[in-house]
Amino acid sequence: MELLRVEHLTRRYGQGAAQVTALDDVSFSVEKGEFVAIMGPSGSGKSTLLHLLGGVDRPTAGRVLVQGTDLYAMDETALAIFRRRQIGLVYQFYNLIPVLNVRENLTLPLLLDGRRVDRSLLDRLTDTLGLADRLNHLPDQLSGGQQQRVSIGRALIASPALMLADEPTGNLDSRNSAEIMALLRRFHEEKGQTLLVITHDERIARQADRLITIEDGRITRDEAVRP
Amino acid sequence: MLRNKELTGPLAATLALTAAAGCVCGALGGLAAGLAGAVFAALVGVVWLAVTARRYARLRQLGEYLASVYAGGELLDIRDNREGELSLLKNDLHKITVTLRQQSEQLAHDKQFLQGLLGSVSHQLRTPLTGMLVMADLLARPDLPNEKRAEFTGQLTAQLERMQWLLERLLTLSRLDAGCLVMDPAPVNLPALLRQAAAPVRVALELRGQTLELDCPEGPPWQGDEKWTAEAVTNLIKNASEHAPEGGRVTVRLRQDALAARITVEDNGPGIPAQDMPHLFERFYRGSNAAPGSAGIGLALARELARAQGGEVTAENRADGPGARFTLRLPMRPGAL
Repeated sequence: MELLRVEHLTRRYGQGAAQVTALDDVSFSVEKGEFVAIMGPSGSGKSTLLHLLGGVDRPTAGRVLVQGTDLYAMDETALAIFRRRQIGLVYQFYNLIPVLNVRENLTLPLLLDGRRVDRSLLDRLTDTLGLADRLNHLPDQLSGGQQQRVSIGRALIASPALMLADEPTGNLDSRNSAEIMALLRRFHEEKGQTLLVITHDERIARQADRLITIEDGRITRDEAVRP
Repeated sequence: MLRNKELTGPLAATLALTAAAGCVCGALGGLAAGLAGAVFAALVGVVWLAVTARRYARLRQLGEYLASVYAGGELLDIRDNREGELSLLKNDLHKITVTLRQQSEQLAHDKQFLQGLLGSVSHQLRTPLTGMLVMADLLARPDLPNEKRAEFTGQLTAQLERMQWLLERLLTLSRLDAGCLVMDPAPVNLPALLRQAAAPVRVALELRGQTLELDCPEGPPWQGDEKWTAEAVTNLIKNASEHAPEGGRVTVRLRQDALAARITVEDNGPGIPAQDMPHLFERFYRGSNAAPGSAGIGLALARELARAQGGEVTAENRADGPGARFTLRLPMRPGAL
């Protein structure tokens, strides 16, 4: 089942002579339940791609369809609602809200939808994330690895169709990186979570099902990592 | 819709309130005020009824959609991206129906796989049984010469051993699947493990006149399960022996660095045909030049035993001549690979 389709996606910044093409006519599709790693040197356009997939930027040309819904055919309000229900985003620098505690940060996407938080869902999630005894802490009382686990939980709490991670281990030491990757793999394997991870780290890319390499805004390789 | 008590109750209340508003306004300000009050109250009631009717119509549509999905109908994208409870309900219904549909497809797939598996296993067991029944028949003849009797008995034993080998490996695979195969990590001397792994295959190698070369320098001990790792290596050597020609050579090498121990098993057979490459490690997959007695589970088992310890088995054709090379990588510390 096709979950994500990207058609001729192009993003240019600036005007005239100063114009930069960050993403140049990129097309690919992702099946439901796939774990795709995206690699490329700095400035290759991979973060631009992820922002466009996550609906947080607007393309110069091209379309992004998540389960058949064209992200950029929607108005801002509909896109914002779609994003919080269908897309989970994890960033390198966590982007937690500093004045909210762990429980509030985790459940933010549900609270924005005006939902009550299911107790058992939250318990299971915090158990898996190893955050059960940290629920009342503020982000700055947590280690980097713990903060990243909160942001993974926040990305997953609304059971999104697609989870996107931009260098999720870029700011962590090797032990915490391994733990974060183990968590992501676990959600991928147990829940069939579709996962797109941008990374510099080949060891992380090798854990994916499929590896897409981007250079100068174009896809240069797209290969299966594991048969 | 009028049979719905949730609607008829409030409808009656609206009518009563309209009458009451008319009466109250009439009592306070005369006939005109009474009429105006009643009309105004009635208008409020009509707006309320219209909104409610629309909401109920949407709920009914959702109900009809669910009934059609239940009856096997097509899954539609019923989500819209609006605020509000009805939109949330649609979103959740969509997620649940998609998940259910996927699970039922997975179940159908599993069922098919199971049927294929049963077929393969029965086939693997029936083939030697047919030959064994013939030999048992022949053995039962009192006039069979003694040397024939010895030959048939030998063949019977060989077939029984093959069946035993097959069943033991199937059992190991099913224990791996069920997650009840316990790995028992301890410091392991890898050269000793490789010699131990080669031992069960020595007879088969000798029968085919093949030489086994072990190139295993001593290194730091590896932390892992000795018994099951040896089993994985035995399967790789057995596979190499089956593909090396008569009088051929099987080479086992051990190389260690800080990250991993790499055990390579090479043969000098015809190598792996390109069309077999993606399927080599699938259960019951028999390559185009598989040995006649091969069941297609040795490599699958080797890979799964390696993976259970964070390792991996990969296959390639040798660059330095004909033949295949299988590489078993074992992490020197957890997560190193």
